[in-house]
Amino acid sequence: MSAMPDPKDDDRGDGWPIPSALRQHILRIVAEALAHPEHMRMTYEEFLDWADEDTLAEWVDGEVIMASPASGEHQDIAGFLAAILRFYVERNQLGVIRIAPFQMKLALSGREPDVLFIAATHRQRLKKTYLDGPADVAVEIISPESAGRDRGDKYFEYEKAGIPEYWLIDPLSRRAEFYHLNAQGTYQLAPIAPDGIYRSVMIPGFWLHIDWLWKLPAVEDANWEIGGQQYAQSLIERLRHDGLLP
Amino acid sequence: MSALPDHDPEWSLPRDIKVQMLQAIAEMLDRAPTHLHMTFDEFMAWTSEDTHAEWVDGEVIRPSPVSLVHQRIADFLARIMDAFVTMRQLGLVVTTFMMKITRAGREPDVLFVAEAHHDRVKHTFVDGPADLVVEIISPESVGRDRGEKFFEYEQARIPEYWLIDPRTQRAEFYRLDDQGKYHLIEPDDHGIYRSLVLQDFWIKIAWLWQTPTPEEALLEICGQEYADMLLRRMRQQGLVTREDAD
Repeated sequence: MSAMPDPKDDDRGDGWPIPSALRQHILRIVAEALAHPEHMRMTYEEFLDWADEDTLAEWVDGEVIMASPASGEHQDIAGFLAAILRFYVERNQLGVIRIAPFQMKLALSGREPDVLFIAATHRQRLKKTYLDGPADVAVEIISPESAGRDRGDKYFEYEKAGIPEYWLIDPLSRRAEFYHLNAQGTYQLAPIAPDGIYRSVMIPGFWLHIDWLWKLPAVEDANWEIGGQQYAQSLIERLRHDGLLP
Repeated sequence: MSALPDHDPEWSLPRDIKVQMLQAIAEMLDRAPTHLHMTFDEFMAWTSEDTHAEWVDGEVIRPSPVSLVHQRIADFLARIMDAFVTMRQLGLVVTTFMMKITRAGREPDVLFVAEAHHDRVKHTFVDGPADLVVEIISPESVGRDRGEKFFEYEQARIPEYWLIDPRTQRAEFYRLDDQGKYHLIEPDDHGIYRSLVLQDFWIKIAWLWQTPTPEEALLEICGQEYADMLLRRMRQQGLVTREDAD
C-alpha cells in the first residue's frame, strides 16, 4: 500500500494542496458513493458546477440541501400558478416568470422557489442559469419535508434579501400566507379580503381566489376571470382580425 | 465542466489511496456530531441539566447559547406570567424546561401548563403539549422557531404560541382554531395583545423591547389585585402595619 504523499515533497510548502478541480472531482465521487450529498460542503461556484439542470438542490451557507421529488398535488398547484402568472405577465409585458428548478442566488444561499417573478425593470439580474439577486415575487409551495424550511429559514432569507412579495402556500393545511415587505424591510402578512381574493402588489392588477389553490380550476377559466373585460375585448379584436366573427 | 483529473497524470491518485480516502470520508460523515441518533428515553438519560439540547425525530439538536437580550425577554415574560398565574392559581409557568410532544422534545423559552393538565408535568419534562408556549428567536435558531416548531406545536395542538423576534422587534401571536390550525392574531390599536389561554392576561408589545420591571407591568395588568397581594405579603412579613397602608 503506497503511503500518502509526504507534505515535504510538495514544493508549494503548505501541506498537501488539493487543486480545486481535483476537489470538485472528489466531491462528486463522494456524492455518488454516499448518495447523501446533503452533508457536503462547497462554495456556491462549486455547487453550480456540480448541480446540473435536473438537480433539485439548494445551497445554504456552504451546505447542499437536496430537495425531495415533488408530489402530484405540489406539481398541480405549481403548474397552475406558473400558467396563470405567465399568461398574465406576458400579456401585460410585466417581466419574466421562472419555475423550479431555477437557481435564485441570494447573499448566503441559492434557492429554487417553485415560481419566480422578475419585473421587467430587473431583467438584468437574470442570467442564463440563475437569477443573480432577489426576485420580485417568490412562491413556495410547502411539502411536509420542506415545511419548516419554507416557513422559517426562507422567510428570513427572502426578507433579508429584499424580495418584496413572498407567497407561502400550504396545501396540507389549506393555508396561504402572502407576505409583503414594508418600509422597514420586514415582512407583513397581507390580510385576505372577505371576498377571499388576494391581490398582488408587485404584479399590478394580478389577483387570485385563494380557494383556487385547493380546488384548481382549469387554467383557461382562471385566465378568463383574471383577464376580465380587457381580456375579453382583446379576444374579440383578435377574432375579428382573423375574420372569425360573423 | 472541468476535465476529469484522472486523465492528468500529475493529479491521479493511486487507487488504494482513493479507496482509503473515500472510506475515511464516509466514516467521518456518518459520525458527524450534528447527527447523533437516539430514542427520547436515551436522550433524556444522555442529556443533563446543563446540556440544553433538543430532540427531534431521533436526532439530537444542540442550540447555541442565547444572547442577553433573549434571556432578558424570557425572564421578564416568565416573571410576569408566573406572578399572574400564581395569584389566580391557574397552573404552572416555567422556563427552558423539556416538553415532549409527538416527535420532538423541545425546551421552549417559557411554557405554561394549565392546572387541569398538571398531570402532564413530570419530574424532568412535560409529557405532552403545554397550554401556552413562548419562543424568542435567536439568530442561530431563526428558521427553526418560525418553521419547524410552528408546525410541531400546531400538530401537538398547543393552543397558543408566541413567537418573539427581538432583532426586528416583532412579535407574532398564534392561536389554534377549531380545525387545529394556527391563525395569526394581531395586537390591538394600542399595541396590546390579550391572551386567550391565560384569561385576563395581556401585554403591551412595547414592553418586550423596553422590559420594564415585572412589578410595573403587573401593576398595569392587574392593578388593584396585584397591589393587594403585595400588601398582604408585606403585612405577613411585618413590613407594613394596617395604619401604614391607609
